[in-house]
Amino acid sequence: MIEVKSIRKKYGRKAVLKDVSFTAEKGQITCLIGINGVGKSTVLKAIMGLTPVTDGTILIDGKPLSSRVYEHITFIPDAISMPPGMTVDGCIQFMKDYYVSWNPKRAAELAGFFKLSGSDRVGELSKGNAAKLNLLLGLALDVDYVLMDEPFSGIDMFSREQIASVFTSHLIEDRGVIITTHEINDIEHLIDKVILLENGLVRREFDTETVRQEEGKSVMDVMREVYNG
Amino acid sequence: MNRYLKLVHWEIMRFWKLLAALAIVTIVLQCVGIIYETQRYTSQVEDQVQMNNSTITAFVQQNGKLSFSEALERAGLSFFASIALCIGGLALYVFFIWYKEWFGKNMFIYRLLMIPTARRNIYFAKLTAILLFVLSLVALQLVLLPLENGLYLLVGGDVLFKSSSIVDLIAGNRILMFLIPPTFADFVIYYGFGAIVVLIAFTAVLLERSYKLRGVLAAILYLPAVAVFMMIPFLIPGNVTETYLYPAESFGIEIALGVIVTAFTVWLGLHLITKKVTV
Repeated sequence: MIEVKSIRKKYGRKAVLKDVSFTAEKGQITCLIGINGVGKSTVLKAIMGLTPVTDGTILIDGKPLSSRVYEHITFIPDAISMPPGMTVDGCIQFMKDYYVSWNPKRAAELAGFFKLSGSDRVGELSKGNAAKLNLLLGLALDVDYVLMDEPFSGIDMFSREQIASVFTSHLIEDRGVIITTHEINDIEHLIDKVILLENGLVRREFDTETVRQEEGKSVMDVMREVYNG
Repeated sequence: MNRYLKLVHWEIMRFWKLLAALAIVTIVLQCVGIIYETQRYTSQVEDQVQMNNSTITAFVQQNGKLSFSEALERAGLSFFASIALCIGGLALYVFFIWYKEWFGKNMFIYRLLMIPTARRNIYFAKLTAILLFVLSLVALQLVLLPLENGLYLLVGGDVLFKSSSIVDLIAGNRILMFLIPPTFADFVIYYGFGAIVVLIAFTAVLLERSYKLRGVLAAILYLPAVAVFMMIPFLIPGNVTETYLYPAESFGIEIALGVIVTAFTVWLGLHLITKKVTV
């Protein structure tokens, strides 16, 4: 389980995260939702130790983040984080070189599914293919938790559908996923838990199934309620 | 292979083309400088001989042959520009080796910081790479000197020109003496000082990457603070003019201060990359 406890983060004088707490379980898809600049990406970066928090604690399976934890959790940022001159095969080799948890069979499976050519350079990939390679580099790791920052941002409909289909496959099964997105429609039916963020605070946290059954509301309905007041 | 060595290999692979370009420019510029200098000297001697109605043999008897060491002195900038270019290129790369990770929309720093290894390995891999680049260019210069000596005689001939031994070449030139120190102790001092400068630059970059504008200010203040700290032996009243301390004592203090500065700078750099750096 990922436990985020009362984290605060300031950029200069601006408090981006004022008091954010939530948990994300293994085997569930947790979605962080909020308007631009609300701090969704900052939360993911803080979990991964890519930005220090001013206050609060983050535990992954009860332990604070350390370099070893990167074999158990991965982060897929909103843009691919490989040098533009590197080929798809080069990226795969890089991951294989550094991660014990790299699963070459799954990488080959994903490369085939996404129809990525090994000789293509990162800088020459279309937005859709760059997003797919980004996803491949994260999902081919045998990790317990996957963090995804806006995986559908700025890509075409067909690539979006292909990426969304990954969420229902064995590639995600049994893992804990935290995802940030604006485009809730693509994955609304797949989400187990929602964290609504506003002004650096958690406005509401709910299980989608419970809300659906008990209140008869969709995620969008709850979002409208919370954000439109 | 452990991850530190893999990271060193990675850094080398990313810079080798630029390093090769610097090496080629060095070879070309220095060879052209030598050829130009031999031609220039030959024509100067010929003009003088013609003016005095003398002979080249008489000129050589009177003035001696021009040694390779003297030719390098005469060549000046046309020879040493390549060394300045390499120093400048590597000095820029000391900063670029960090900033390139943050460049563009595909920020590699995400991946680098998420490698399952202690972040100190990233820091030391970059430091090792820089030191290897410096030493490889120095080694190239060391190999080039005897070859250029041969080229010098080949182009100029042995009537007006004579070769110099490597020892004479280095001893006769301040820049070469600095690049290729004559004793191991000098090597440790010069290159140790260079390594401290690189570490300070790394810390400056990491301060900026961690605290942005406030970090820039801290980095600007850090440099003079280190300079003042290193000058402590010379700030003792009367030490410079009345030699209050023996030179060996001043030297010992300098070494101790250098070790303290290195230890603190490395600690600060590692603290920043582990706990403070922001993507």
